[in-house]
Amino acid sequence: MKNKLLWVGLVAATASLAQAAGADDTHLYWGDTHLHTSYSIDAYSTGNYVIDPDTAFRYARGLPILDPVSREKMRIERPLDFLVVSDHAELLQLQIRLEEEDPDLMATPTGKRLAEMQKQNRNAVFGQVGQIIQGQGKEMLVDLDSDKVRGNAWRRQVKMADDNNVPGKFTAMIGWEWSSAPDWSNLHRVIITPADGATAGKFLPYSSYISNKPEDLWAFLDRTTRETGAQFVAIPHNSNMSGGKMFDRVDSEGRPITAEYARERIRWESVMEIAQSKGTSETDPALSPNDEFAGFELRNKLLPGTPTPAQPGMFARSALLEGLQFEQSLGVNPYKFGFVGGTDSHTGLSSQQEYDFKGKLTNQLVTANRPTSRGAFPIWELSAAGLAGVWATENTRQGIFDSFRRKEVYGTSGPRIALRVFGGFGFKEADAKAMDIAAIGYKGGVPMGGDLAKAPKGQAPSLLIHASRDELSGNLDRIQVIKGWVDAKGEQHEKVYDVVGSGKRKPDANGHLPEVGNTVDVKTATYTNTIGAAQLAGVWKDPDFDPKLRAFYYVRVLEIPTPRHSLYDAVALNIDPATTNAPLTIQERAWSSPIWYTP
Amino acid sequence: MSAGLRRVLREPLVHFIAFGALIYLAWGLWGQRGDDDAHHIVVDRAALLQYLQYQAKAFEPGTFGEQLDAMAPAERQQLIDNFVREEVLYREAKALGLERGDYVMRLRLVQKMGFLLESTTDEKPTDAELQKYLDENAELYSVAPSWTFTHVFLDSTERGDAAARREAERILVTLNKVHAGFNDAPRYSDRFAFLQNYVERTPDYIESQFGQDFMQALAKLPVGTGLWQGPLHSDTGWHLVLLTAHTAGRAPKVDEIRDRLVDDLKRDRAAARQDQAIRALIDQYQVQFVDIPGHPEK
Repeated sequence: MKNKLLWVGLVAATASLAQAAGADDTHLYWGDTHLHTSYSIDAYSTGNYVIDPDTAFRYARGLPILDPVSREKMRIERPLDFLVVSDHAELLQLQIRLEEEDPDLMATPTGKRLAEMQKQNRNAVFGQVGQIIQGQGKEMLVDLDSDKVRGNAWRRQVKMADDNNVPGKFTAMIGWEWSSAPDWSNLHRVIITPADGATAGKFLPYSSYISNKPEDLWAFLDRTTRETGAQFVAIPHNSNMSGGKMFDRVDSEGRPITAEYARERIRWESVMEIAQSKGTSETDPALSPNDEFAGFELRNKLLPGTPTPAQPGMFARSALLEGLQFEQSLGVNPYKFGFVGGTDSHTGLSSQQEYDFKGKLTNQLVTANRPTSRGAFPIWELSAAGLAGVWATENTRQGIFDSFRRKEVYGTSGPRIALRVFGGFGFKEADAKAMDIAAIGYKGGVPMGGDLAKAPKGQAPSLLIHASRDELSGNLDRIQVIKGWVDAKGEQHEKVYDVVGSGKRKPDANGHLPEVGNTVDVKTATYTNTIGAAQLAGVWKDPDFDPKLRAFYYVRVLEIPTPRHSLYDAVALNIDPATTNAPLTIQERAWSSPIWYTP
Repeated sequence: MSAGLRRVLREPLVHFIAFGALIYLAWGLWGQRGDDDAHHIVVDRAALLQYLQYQAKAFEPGTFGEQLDAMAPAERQQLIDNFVREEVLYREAKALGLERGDYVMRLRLVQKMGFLLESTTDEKPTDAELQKYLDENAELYSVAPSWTFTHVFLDSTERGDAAARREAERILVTLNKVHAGFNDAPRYSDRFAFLQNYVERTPDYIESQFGQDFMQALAKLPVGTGLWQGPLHSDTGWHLVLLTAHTAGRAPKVDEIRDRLVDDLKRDRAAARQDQAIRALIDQYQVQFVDIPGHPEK
């Protein structure tokens, strides 16, 4: 086994699946845009003392590193193609710098006090400063958050990214997290930039201590772009934990959204994170009662763990619908975004496999300790998710970034499901059988994230779709199209269509395929790929098309059921899986970015 | 004596404080005070350097020496004050025997001793040393075998397994008759879930996409015959294979993996030095066994 792992590092990471559809202009790259290291204050306080950004990049690249607990050599099973280390901008590197007795911190009373406290208990400092987010103890910032301290921290951060960036092979993208959480409603954004360290060194990462209003963040991005030339994309995440504030109808002051707000928002926020360790944000059964697969890895809670009812402002699908309406009333769609998945892991180890989930926090790394995992984020309640698939012309900072801009990206709940989606008006049934789907797709339509407009008379949009399974995960169950539209009376509608499924299953009267089955043996946490398909392809033509109405279409691909990470743990611990309080199996999935139709 | 006072005197905490006070009193009366060794603290460069390293939980005398030299006078004074304060409190606590029976303290000391013995050095291993290390750990660094091939795929899911096989056998004849080349496969192939061409791919990679049976069959095929071979069965259908190259697993040259070797060798050596140091310490002790099976009591 050890030998096998070493081999993997000697062959090319991935990108190969891209060729599944033949030679074309874009290749598929896999990565994580959301990862924390020991340089995030909450990661350190939960036991991550040693996996810094440099180690996190090295792990993602496929180099051996030392396990933070056992200090044995460890290595990622399959390297990533790109990674953003997105440490919290708020008190970036604080505990590490206290450990190092940073002279700029030790010269202040607060710095000296906290350094002393940390010597007694390594996890104690966060308890002192964690509340600053909510406005308490802000006076400490004078000592801890000076531009000099922040500048030193940021320069170290971007240097580690520069050191690990290998154009053409591995993209180490510079980024940070803006961690705004008014009243514990999660409004967090990860900000990424294709800039190098020299350019990024000209600004400081905008933190929620300066402002917790997204409007102010966008103003900073606008100003900084003009001053330094750096480009940015801000990626909202965990809208499921926002209590409805992430995709609201009002701005931060409670005033109705204006065209200007909508323009600024969509200028910066072209992509949102649909799945990660703290739950999915696609939709909820309460909002999508006719979607039988809607109840997937949900976690509708505020940051400290307070449950909230499902509201439209918490989910991508309802936001896409709201967006169509705003476009009608304001002329601009603030929620015209694509999807990615990310881990939000605080271990510095990007990990999203069910069978080898390393947890969200370092104190969850040891499986033997998991039955006692408590607090706001108990391990078995969390998801082993997610991942970003990017169709890009090259694996460089600019190449990957441009795909985020044009939304030719998609999210998965962890597995590397390859997914091509093109929208157009001329696709034929036979195109789904073609060897080179991309050649037909790019020529006859637009890729995911794109726009269709003004349908030719008598024609409806069609989607050309191809999906291949992850060679290390389950077969594919089905391909679905989710359509959303706003009718002439201004009412929102959504519908889920089964496009194609594995085997010889026949759709029922409503067009829905029966369940694919389940091969999971819960006693051994194993499954077989005797059901499902290695690949699925189809051309889907909108049967309910009205050329006068705005609409969006996105694709969802489901795997067959496989064991959930909590079941693997239960078998390893030899305990009754019911005691994990979690589903035994999971139908992993991929969500394409939408394609929009505008009359 | 009132009931309240009796209750107070039964409290373990009170006993503890009273006992502590007694010891302290005894120490004050009979303990030695003055310019003896127990009350003599030496602040020299070595002491400060060690103190600094314990604070940082890292042991690199060179780096910390520089840091010490670069300290402003006020900063240095602060360091000295902290050191003296800690040293005095430590000695007093030890004199009172507070460390005895404290398991956390015990673990902490063991850990610190471990750090101390873990010293790293700036040594640069020679090529000969690296080669020797590579030879000794050949299995760890072996480059996996690889295969280069293209394939024509006949999809059992679409065609049915028997029909796919028949079609494969039919196409095989054609391929070899027209001398179809490496880049001609797509014209004859159904669409495979993964790749058309596999260039220098390792067995675990091929196996993950085709299955174990296919990999085993592929490994038995003759290489570079210029002929299409098969059909080979995979998890999803039948494959005709044009196998152009195979490289056996091999040991890499030192230069290919130099950085990794240097890192690993240095880490191994540091661990060995630490182990040696600990064993040297153990040798200074007589270990007596009492009632441990397999260990005579002497």
